[in-house]
Amino acid sequence: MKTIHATVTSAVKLSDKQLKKISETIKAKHTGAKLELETVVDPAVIGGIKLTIDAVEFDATVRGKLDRLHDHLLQQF
Amino acid sequence: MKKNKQAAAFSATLSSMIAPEAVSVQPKSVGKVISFGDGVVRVKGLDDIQASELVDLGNNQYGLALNLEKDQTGIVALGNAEHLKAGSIVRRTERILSVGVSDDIIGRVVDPLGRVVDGGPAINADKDMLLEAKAPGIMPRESVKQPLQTGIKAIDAMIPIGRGQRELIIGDRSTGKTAIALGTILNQNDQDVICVYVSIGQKRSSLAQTIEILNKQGAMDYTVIVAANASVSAAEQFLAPYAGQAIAEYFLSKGRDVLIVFDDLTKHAQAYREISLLLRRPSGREAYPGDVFYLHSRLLERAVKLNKDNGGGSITALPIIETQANDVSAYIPTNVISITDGQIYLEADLFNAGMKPAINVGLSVSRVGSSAQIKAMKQVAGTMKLDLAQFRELQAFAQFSSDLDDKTKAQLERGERVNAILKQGWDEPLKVEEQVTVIFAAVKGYLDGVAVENIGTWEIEYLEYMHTSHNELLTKIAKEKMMTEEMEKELAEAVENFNALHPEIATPQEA
Repeated sequence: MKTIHATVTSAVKLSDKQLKKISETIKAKHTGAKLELETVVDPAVIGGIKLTIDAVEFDATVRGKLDRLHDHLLQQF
Repeated sequence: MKKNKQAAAFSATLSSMIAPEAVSVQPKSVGKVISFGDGVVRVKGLDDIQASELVDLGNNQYGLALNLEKDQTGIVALGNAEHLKAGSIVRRTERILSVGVSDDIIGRVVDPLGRVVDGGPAINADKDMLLEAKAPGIMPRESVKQPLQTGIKAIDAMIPIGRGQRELIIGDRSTGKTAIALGTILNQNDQDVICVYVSIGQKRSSLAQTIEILNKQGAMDYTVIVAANASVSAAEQFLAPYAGQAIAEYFLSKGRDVLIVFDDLTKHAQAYREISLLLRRPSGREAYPGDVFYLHSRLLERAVKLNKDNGGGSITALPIIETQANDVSAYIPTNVISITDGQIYLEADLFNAGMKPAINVGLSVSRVGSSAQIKAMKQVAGTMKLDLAQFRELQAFAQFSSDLDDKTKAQLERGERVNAILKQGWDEPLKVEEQVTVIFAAVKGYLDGVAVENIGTWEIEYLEYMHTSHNELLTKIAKEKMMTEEMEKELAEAVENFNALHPEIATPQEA
């Protein structure tokens, strides 16, 4: 069976309920695969979560959005 | 109240500048650093990355993906990526290496990624040119037929270069290789040619000097400099010639003629060797990787003369190779000699003997340029190369015997003068019509009465005389590009008159 490795990064520790919801969402996308979920607490992300599934990253943290906004605005000058 | 209004207007403008899709969450391919050292980053992940794609290393630093393997990716850092550690995350940019070019780039100094390094404002890119573009195919090409005047008598007369040709400049250190390239750039001031000078692995001080010379002589008005100094990473030095070529191709696409100088490809090959060894690619002869031939061939194949339907532009490449102790049979010199359409071979012995430019005429060739030479030059300098070769043979022979017959003596005297007339300061390029008149005088024997040490003065005075008294003849040669019998007669009379007027440097001949 294929194993997928996922990392959840958040500013505060997530509750079990939240983590369960996240892992269920991932499993729904990758049916039949074994999921290894790792959690990282990093206050530097300010808020929101960042999900890294194997080599693909979904950055929905406040920090990530601010960085993208920064790059986007800089490009226009 | 007013303040509120201003704030509302400000936030409205700001929100209009923010495209929602730019900040929304998108899946992004990332990789985790396994190891980082000597500018090489090994990354796990980045499964779908493309070869030679830019990688975002964080901290506004970028890398170049060079080795794509099943379970890891080898990336070379462009610049300093000291913030990286094992476990750091790097991201795809989905950008293949390119430089932003526009007409504003003329007169500027840029690095291999197209960023300005001369302290001026950034360049407003009009078009992104790929660093690794495919060379034009066979059908859009045309044979070389238009001369590229270097302004150097020895080259324009005997080793002519055509637009779209690749001519190698090869020689030991400090034999005047760069001087020939720079002299050629200086001579393009009225030739409607854009020049690109790529400096690879040179000292900052020498580059600063080069820029100063070009600025002082007004050559920066049509020149772009791509600089990857000795202090930058090997990866940037490796990219520099491709960046220069990409800039040249921008002007080619506008139908312009471009001259590109790579100074020098020896250091380029060494930078590539460094990268390859650090990436643990198998090494071959002289520890260069197996694809070092392809490294230069794919670069020089992009030199081109396009036909009318494709804009008619051209890229002429002058690569420079530095040899060790005149060894042209080392790996990189033989490679580049076989790729190019001829070479200009410079020798330290000639240089030390005061022959400047120190071109060894016997070993230098131009395989396609002669079809581009103007007819007037062919008429006067046609047999010059052979004559000089015979002269050298005779000279070597004459060293052994003291008494020579008059004919041999005369031949030797003539040869010495033709040789002397080829001496020229590198920053004193001559226009083609001037070269024709000078070489005409030398090969037709009008210099036989001039002492060899006076030839420099004779040339200066003679050209001044031609410009003041026979200017229409000069313009006629430049315009018609050939010599009719009448023109030849007029020129012969002019030389005779000049010699008669200046008995202090030229004792008149009994014709």
